[in-house]
Amino acid sequence: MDTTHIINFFLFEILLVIFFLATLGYLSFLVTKKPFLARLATALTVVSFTLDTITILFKLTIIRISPFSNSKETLFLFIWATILVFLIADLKYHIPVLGAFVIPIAFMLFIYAYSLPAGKASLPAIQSYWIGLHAVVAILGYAVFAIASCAAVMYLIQERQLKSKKPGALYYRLPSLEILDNLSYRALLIGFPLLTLAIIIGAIWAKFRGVNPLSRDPTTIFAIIVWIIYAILIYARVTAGWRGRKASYLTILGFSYILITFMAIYYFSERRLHLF
Amino acid sequence: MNIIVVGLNHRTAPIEIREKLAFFDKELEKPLTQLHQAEGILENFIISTCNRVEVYSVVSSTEEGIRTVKEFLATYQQVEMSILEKYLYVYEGDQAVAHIFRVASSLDSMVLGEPQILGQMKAAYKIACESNTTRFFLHALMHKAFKVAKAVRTETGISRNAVSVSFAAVELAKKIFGSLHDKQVLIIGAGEMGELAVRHLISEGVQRVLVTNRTYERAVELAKAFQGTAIPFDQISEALITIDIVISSTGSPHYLLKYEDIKALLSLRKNRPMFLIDIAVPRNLDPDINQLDNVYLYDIDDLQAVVEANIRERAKEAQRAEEIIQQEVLQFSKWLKAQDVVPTIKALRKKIETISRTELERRLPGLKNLSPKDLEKIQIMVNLITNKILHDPLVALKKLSYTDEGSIYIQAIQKLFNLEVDE
Repeated sequence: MDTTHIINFFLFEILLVIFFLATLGYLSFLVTKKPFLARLATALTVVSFTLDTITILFKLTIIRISPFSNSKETLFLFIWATILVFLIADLKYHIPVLGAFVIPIAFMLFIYAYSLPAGKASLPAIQSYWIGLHAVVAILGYAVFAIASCAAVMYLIQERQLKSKKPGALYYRLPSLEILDNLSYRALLIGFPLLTLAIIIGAIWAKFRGVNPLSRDPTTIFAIIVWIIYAILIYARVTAGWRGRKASYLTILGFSYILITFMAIYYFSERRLHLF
Repeated sequence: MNIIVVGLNHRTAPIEIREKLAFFDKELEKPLTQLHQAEGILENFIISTCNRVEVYSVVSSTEEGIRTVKEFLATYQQVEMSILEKYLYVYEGDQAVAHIFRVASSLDSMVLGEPQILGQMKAAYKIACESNTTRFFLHALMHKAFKVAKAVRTETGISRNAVSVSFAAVELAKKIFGSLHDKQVLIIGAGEMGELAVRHLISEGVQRVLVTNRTYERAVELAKAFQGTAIPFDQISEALITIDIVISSTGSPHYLLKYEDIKALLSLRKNRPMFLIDIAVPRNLDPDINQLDNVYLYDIDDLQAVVEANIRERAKEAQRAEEIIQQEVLQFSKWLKAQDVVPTIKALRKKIETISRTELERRLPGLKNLSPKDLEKIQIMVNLITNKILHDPLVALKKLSYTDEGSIYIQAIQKLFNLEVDE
């Protein structure tokens, strides 16, 4: 191993430890409700995010591994984006308990990504800035959907508590239905344009390269299906006043579809030009 | 010097005894000063509420002090000692401090975490201060108790979550709507609990209150009380299109609103959430309404169940409060020991005596011309000198230690004589 790889290794190890501590912090906050644990966990998450940003930039510029070179790297970028969106949501909504849902899942994904085979230390086919932009925008969109579905899960739990009239431990810990529904709706309103933009950039790029964007690439079709699911949801919310339970189910369905397809694509296709 | 608590509360004594022992706030000064004049009572404080009567004292001797306070209570309130003894509890030292912290933090209250006790304690403390029966130690102790109570309140959830049905309804509304500022309430019928809930909702800032009743005149009357608007009884359905919260408490023998009635409204309301509170028995609202999406219906039993869950939640939080108190007692007892004048006095005496003894032992064998009697006289004389020198500063120190500047003097003596005092 040369120096850069050693630095990379240590960066990663430290990130892993702090990320783990942030996860522990949020989980113990969920159990004890002590406010200082939430502040501690948020601080640790900010540190993890900073380290993650450095790691990704370091890989890209020094080791020259693009975040899109393989599934492993793309998943890392997706986790990075999810933490970013979470931190923004936390800043805006002040509901640290969201972290208890987002961060442990992000950490598990992180471990999963870690277990995937390492990518080659070379920049892959994505040479154009346009296509890099296309991928980053898409990843950001998916990260926003991830937060939306976490809020949707929290909504369903809280709704269950209120309907059943038997307040359990989570009833006291989760915020109001209104806040959760609002958060997941707003996320949707941000995630959807991002996904739309990503599709448009991709289509323009394909046109310039003279390829039919729909041919021989399952990920494009997949992205369009995700787009349709969320388009229906937004339409239903705006016109029919869909909200709450049904909207939450659909939000979660859309994101599950993203996750499952990611796994499927990883297992069935080795050509890694596209991830999502 | 020790801190003692002598008292009784709702758990140890029935109302008949508590009312006999109770002091009125306005008349507290007399018993306070009377007890203060008793032998061995250095400082004292009395708290008297409907659930407890307690005397906190700083006494020079623990056993005597406890006896003095008990006798004082028996004679002052004219209760026979043998009867009183059955209900009284006594704490001293760290246990007394812990008890005072627990009372202030509302851990000893009938309704766990109720906020009134702290206010009552502060009022009683003010009277004790004005009656001049509190000094250095009780000042420190009570201020600490108020701080601990505040910490317990903010760091644990002991005062969170409603323990009354009407407050529970408001909290549920907040769990559904978040803020209640732009919400509209409809009250159907009149009832004490309903009115209480409306008042809480109004203090949470609901935007608009509509009132309806079978007799319109009564509705107008009620609307005035809440600064709301009265509507005729047959306009309920129309009103429900914009209403967010409904409180129903009529004497109607059948359902006023059925599943179908609300279902028909949902699309008109664009599925905005709706919270229906039915506090009438027999019930006014069809229980099936709760099955509708975005509609939440709670009857009186449901609210009661929430209150019970809240009480259990408070009990859980109380455990965390106990931990905080344990730590604070430890800290306070450490501080108390450092304030204690006795070790300083002992150390000072020991130092002077050691000096005179070592000097005597060293010099006396050299004085060969003295008879054994003279030698004895010299020894007595040296002892007398040390005692006389020590007398004034020690008496002053004992006296000063009970004033606000006590610790300053104690520390000064320790520094000046280079004394090592263990805590």
